[in-house]
This record gives sequence, C-alpha cells and structure tokens, in this order.
Amino acid sequence: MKKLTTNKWKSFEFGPPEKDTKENQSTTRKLKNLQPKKSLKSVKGSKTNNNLDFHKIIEPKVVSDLIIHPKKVQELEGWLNTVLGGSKKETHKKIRDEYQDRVKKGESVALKYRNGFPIIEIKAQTTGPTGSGKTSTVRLLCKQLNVDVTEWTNPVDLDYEIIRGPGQAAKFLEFFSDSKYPSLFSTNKKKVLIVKDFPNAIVRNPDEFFSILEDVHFQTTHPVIFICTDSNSNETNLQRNLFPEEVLLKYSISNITFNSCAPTLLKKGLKRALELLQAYPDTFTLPLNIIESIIASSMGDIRCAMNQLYLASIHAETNLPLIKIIGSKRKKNDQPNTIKHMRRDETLGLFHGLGRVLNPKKIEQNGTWRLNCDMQKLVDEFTIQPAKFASFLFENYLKYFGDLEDIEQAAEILSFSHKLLENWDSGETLTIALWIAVLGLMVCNQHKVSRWNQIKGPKKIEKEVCDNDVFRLHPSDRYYYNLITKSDKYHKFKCGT
Amino acid sequence: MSLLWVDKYRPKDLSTLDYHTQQAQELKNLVEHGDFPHLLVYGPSGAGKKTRIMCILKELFGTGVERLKSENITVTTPSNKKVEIMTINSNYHIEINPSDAGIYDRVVVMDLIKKIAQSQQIAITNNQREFKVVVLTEVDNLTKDAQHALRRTMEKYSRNCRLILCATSLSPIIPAIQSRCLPIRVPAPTIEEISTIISKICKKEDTAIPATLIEKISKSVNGNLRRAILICEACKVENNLQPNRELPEPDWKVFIKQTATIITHRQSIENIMVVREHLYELLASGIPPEIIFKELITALVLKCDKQIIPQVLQEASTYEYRMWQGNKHIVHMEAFVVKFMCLYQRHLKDLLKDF
Repeated sequence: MKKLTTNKWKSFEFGPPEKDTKENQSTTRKLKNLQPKKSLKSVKGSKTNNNLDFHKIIEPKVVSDLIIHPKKVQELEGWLNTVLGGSKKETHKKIRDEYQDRVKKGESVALKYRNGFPIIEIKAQTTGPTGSGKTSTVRLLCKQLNVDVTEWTNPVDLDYEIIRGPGQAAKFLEFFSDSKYPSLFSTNKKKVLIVKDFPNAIVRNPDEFFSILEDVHFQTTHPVIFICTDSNSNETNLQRNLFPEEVLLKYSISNITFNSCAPTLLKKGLKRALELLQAYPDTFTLPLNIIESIIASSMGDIRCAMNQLYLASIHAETNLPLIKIIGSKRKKNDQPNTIKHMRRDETLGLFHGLGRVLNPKKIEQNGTWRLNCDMQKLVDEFTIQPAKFASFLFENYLKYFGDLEDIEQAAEILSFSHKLLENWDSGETLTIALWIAVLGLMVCNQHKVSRWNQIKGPKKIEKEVCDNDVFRLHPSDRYYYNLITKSDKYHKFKCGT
Repeated sequence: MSLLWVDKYRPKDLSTLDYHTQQAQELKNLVEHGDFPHLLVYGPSGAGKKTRIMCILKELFGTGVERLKSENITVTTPSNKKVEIMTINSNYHIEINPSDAGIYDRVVVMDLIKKIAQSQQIAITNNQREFKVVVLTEVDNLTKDAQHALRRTMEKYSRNCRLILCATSLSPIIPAIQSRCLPIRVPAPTIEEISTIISKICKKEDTAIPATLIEKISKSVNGNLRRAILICEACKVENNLQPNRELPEPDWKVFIKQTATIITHRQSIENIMVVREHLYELLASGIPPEIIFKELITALVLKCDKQIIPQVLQEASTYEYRMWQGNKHIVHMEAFVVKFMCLYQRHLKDLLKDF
C-alpha cells in the first residue's frame, strides 16, 4: 500500500509510468494536443456525465484516426524509424550504408560512435500553422512505435527563479542532460524528447539557444523533436529566429513542415467526431447542418474546428449566428456561411491589403455612396507595420487616381498621417495614422482608374557619402567641385531644356 | 590631386584667422585655461565654423591633430542592424556627422562617445590634455531621441571627453543641450571681408582678377565664404575672368527651376509623377530638404499670379513645418506641389471665366 502511494507521487514527478496506469496516462498526455485549456478538467478524469470531456471523446486514438495527409504521417514515421532504428547491432551496417547514401545525396547526418555503437543524431523540427496537428501526430506515432515521449514544459515557479537558482535556460539544458537516464517506470529503451514550449529566455536571445543546441548535440542519446508554430510577427517567428539555415545544417536537423488541414480531411475528421458523439445523446445534440460552416470558418485549424463543433453541439446552443460571406469572385454560390463568434483571425498579405485600399469598392445607397468594406476588419488584418504600409500607399496611390482634385485631398491626408506617424513611440497614434491614411485614400478616390499597375516599394533615399576629403563639402557646393576639378565625382543633374 | 583653394588657404591657427579676430582672441584665452567646456558652435553655412573648430583643436593639442585619417566604423543597433558611419579622426579627436546614420543616430552617438571615453589618455605630457574631443557636425539634424541621449552622455563622460557641436541653427537643438554647452556664434563675414579674402587668395595664386568681379562674387554668395572661394576658383579654371561674366549657377538650382516650370506648365497626374522623380533625385544627391523646398517656392512664386501668392505661401508654411517635424520629406513636398497645382489651375479657370 505504501509502495503504491509513493509510486503515484513519483509518477507525478518524473513523468508517466507507461505500463502500470497506461489508460490514465495516455489520456492525460494526449489531451494536451487537442485542447490544453480542458486538461485541468480531464485530469480529474471522472466518469460522470457532467464532467464529460468533449475533446477526450473525439481525440484520435490511433494513427489512422488522424486527419493529417497520409504522406505527411509517413514522412514523420520514416524519420522516427531511421532515428530509432531497430536493434543497434543489426542496424549498425545499415545505418552506415544509409549514412553514406545520404552523404551522396547531399544530406548531412552526424554519425558518432558511442560505446561502440553508432548513433545517428538527428533532430527534427516540425513546423506548421496552429492547429495543423503537429503534436498529435508525433504523439500518436510514438505510441504506435512504442516509444516513450518526454516533453519539456516551461517551469512556472517564477519567484524562485528570480530570487536564486538556475534560470530557465539552465533548466532547459538540464532537461536534455537528464533525459539520458531511463524512466524508472518504463522498460522501454526508446525515447523521444519533444520541445514545444520554448523557454522565453531563449526566444529573446537566440544565441543562447545555439549554445544549448551545441551542448545537446553532444549530450543526448535520444532524438529530439522541436515543434514550432508558424507565426506572422517577426518577434515570435521561432522558425526563423531559432532555426536559421546554418543551424539546421550544422546539427543535421531535418525539417518536416505541416500544412493547414485540407477541407476534405477536416470534413472526414468532423464526421468521425460526430459518430463518436452519438454515444452521448443526452449531452450533445448533433448539428449536422453546420459542418460546412465550421470548415469554412476554421480555415484549416483543427483545434479551432473542434472547438466550434463543441460549441455547436451543446444542447443550449441550438442556433449559432452565422455570417454570410461576401462572395468572392471564384466561388460565389457554394461559399458557406461562417460561424460568427468563432472566426479565426484572418490576415491580409501586403499586396492584397494595398489592393483593397487603392481599389475601394463602393455601393450606391439612395443617391449617396458607402464604402463596401468593413474598415475595422480591414485595418486589423494588415500584418505590416503602419509606417511601412503608409509609405507603400504613398509610393503607389497616384496611379489609381483619375482626378487632380482627388489627389489634392489624398496628398493632404497622406501628409497629415505621415506627420502622426512620426510619433512612433506611442503605438496607438500609429494605428490612428494608418486609419487616416487608409480611409482618406479610399474616400477621396472618386474617379477611380481601374487598370493593372505594378506595385512599387518605397524608395530608400541613401545619401551619397563618398567623400574622403578631410573637410567635407556641403552637398550644395559639390557642383563647383565638379566644375573645378572637371570631374563628375558627384551626381550631375540633367538640366536639358 | 592638388587641394582646392578652400582647403589650401584655410587658416590653421587662431591667430591667423581673417575676421572675428576679437572672438579668436577669446577662444585662445579659453583654451589656455585648463577647464575646457563643451562647445556649441553655430552660425550660417560657409561662415567658418569648422575652420574655427580645427583651430581650437590645434590650440588644444598641438600639431598632432593635423594628422587626420578617415575610418569607417560599424555600430550595431539594438535590432541587430549594422550601421556604418564614416569618421575623421586624429589621436586626439574624432569627428562624425551623426545624421549620416539617419534614424539610428542615437545609437551612433552614444556608442561612439562611450567608446572614446572608456580609453583614457595615457602619458600626459606638458601640453597634453586628459580628455579627448568628439566633434559632432550637423547637430541640428539630430533626432530628438538622439539629443536626449546626448544630454545624459555628455554629463556622464565629461571627465574623459569633451564635445564640440556644430550647427547652422540653434532652434532645433533642445534647451537641455544648449545649456550644457558654451555657445559660440560665428556670424557670416561681411561683403568687404569676403572681398579682402578673395583678393588675398588671388594674389597668392598669381591670378589677376578684376575688382568688379570680386565684388560681384562677394555680393552673390550671401555671406557664404566657402562658396565665394569655390566660385572664384571655378572662374579661374574656366579661364574666364571677365568682369561682366555670368557666375556659374549650381546645377541643382537650375534643376529645381525646371521642376517649377514643369509644375506651372501643365497640371496633371503624369506631371506629379515626374515632379516626384525630380524631388527624389534632389534628395538622393544630399541637398537638404529645406533648401529644396525654399528654392522651389521661390521659383514658383515668381511664376504665379500675385493674387494667389498669399495662399501659396500659407500652404507652403504648413507643409514646410510638417516636413521639419518628420523625416519623410517627400510626402509633404509632394502634398505641397499638388496643392499648388490645384490652386494654380483654379486661378487660371477663374481668369478664363471672366472672358
């Protein structure tokens, strides 16, 4: 009895005991992949209907349940197989051959001898947008191949860290060096390390990460999988900051990219979820008519889709408000409506955004006109910095205008918004300035010219600093220098009449 | 390559300065006392600010400051962008134009002063000072951010490092910096002073130049001695020293006048684009935006009807003020050009209506 309790306590500390409480553990682990918020609820694991966990019901149980493209699953599985190999002695030669093959192909794999056995150290990095099933796939595959998974979580005892003790980065390194000891509760020798939460300290300072990677490269015997989510903003773009090309090459990290879930696959997944939900008729009603809308509004984000399904299937919510999508040119008829509350943030690319602003769409209403566009949404969807966007607008707006007086107003507004943009130290002014520029250009453009125009980037003015003289001439006096020395060292203006 | 006259005949000592001799004497007294303050030298272009700064440096450190070398230094900004900037330095001083670094001037100023101040002068002999000098030129183009950073840096490192700031106008400089420096105004030389200096130089060069031409040059340059000497040398190179000859006009001025003609010739969207290209070209060649703006207005006002001049000037002042506040000059210039086009066109239409 005593032993059992200690066992439980330990299991909490060191990670999951695989064999003893397999059912419990596997659920707690996998729950994270679909819905982290729900994990608290699920840990209690009660079987009453009140605490029924929606995501537990519909999570994929085996690899075939995954709604990831089979090729992608194969790719990851292939990687895991190569790394983990079969028995080491058997694969000794095989790995070497393969290694040489790969070298011939131009891929680089670090081959190392340790205790007489070659160990291929490959780290993989999986990338993809949110909710594309990165983590689920890795976990399920590991389960299928009977491999232990150890995941890094950011320590939360912040106070302790501030006062004394190792920082996050040090703990991160510790996590890797500890990983070479096998779990007490598992007889499994194969193990994969997953890093999904990157410690903040590292995100801010990539150099530190590189040095940790260097250590990890020599310390760990287990393959490591880094999971990065794609991101729009530069600061949190893990893939670009932490895994630049040279790092990938140096540590022979293979890169497996996930794409957003395709609509057909998503549909399959939703249908499967609905089938599973049929077992609980008293908790969930099955909203059959809404699948198309969910697919449209989740934009390939599985997590988002499942959340929407959850919301839609609860008894109380019988009718979800829908938005009718303003038809795009391609599929006017079969565009399904989207669910109002659960839309994912959309983002507009630079060119798309410029096009919307420079080619405003208008509707006539009782003799007056309105802009046919949700301004708030439009400005929010720009991902580029306001100052940059404004200078793009300035560079290109002339070609879309058809009347001088319109331009007069537009130029005045642009000048004003650029004045506001100078106050770059307060973020809110920037948004207002962007609003002014965007709205101004859209409203003033009364005589729109619709034709194809090449978008130009804002011009960078680089001053000529080509002077090695000790006393530098003022730019306005350079003409005389050219005149006196009869050279054309400085720029000459063409003053033909 | 032989030196330009401007550099060849630049006075090297405080005692050999041609004008403002009283001030030169005061500067000499200032240097002799051990306690040398930060200086802020200001005055119009071509009045001899730089010359005086070099003279002061020579007075401070001896002939060693004349061994100059130029060097490119790289400064890394917090966002990991590398900014390269050219410096001119001797063993005792370093000179930079922080506005070359654009919006990164703050980093450049702070980094550089820190670097200089960290290394102390060793082996202090009799006439050696225990500080180095940092000369910052075109301080009036410094961003406010950089000026505030400078304020702190000035105090922190004043033990090892003195600053000499050089500016054309005091108004863009924040009061906090003005009060930390000893301001020295270098007024433009008078027409007579310019004439004397030109004739002196011509004598040394064995060039016979008619007095009327000297007078013409002196009057045309608006107190800018450097330009006067340059024009004089240009005339000599062209071998045309006739008293009634036309003085060479800088090509950029002609260029701006042409731009003004384009604006008044026809008011259309195509012409706005042409004007924009012209303005870009002028800016890229380093002509200060305020000078471009001023020349453009002067040229435009000459071409338009008296009735709309007040309105034009009012608009111009609005946009010029906006231009000063920011660093996207082209936007405000173009807004003014478009405004002018519209005013001009409307006025023409009104005139036609009367007939």
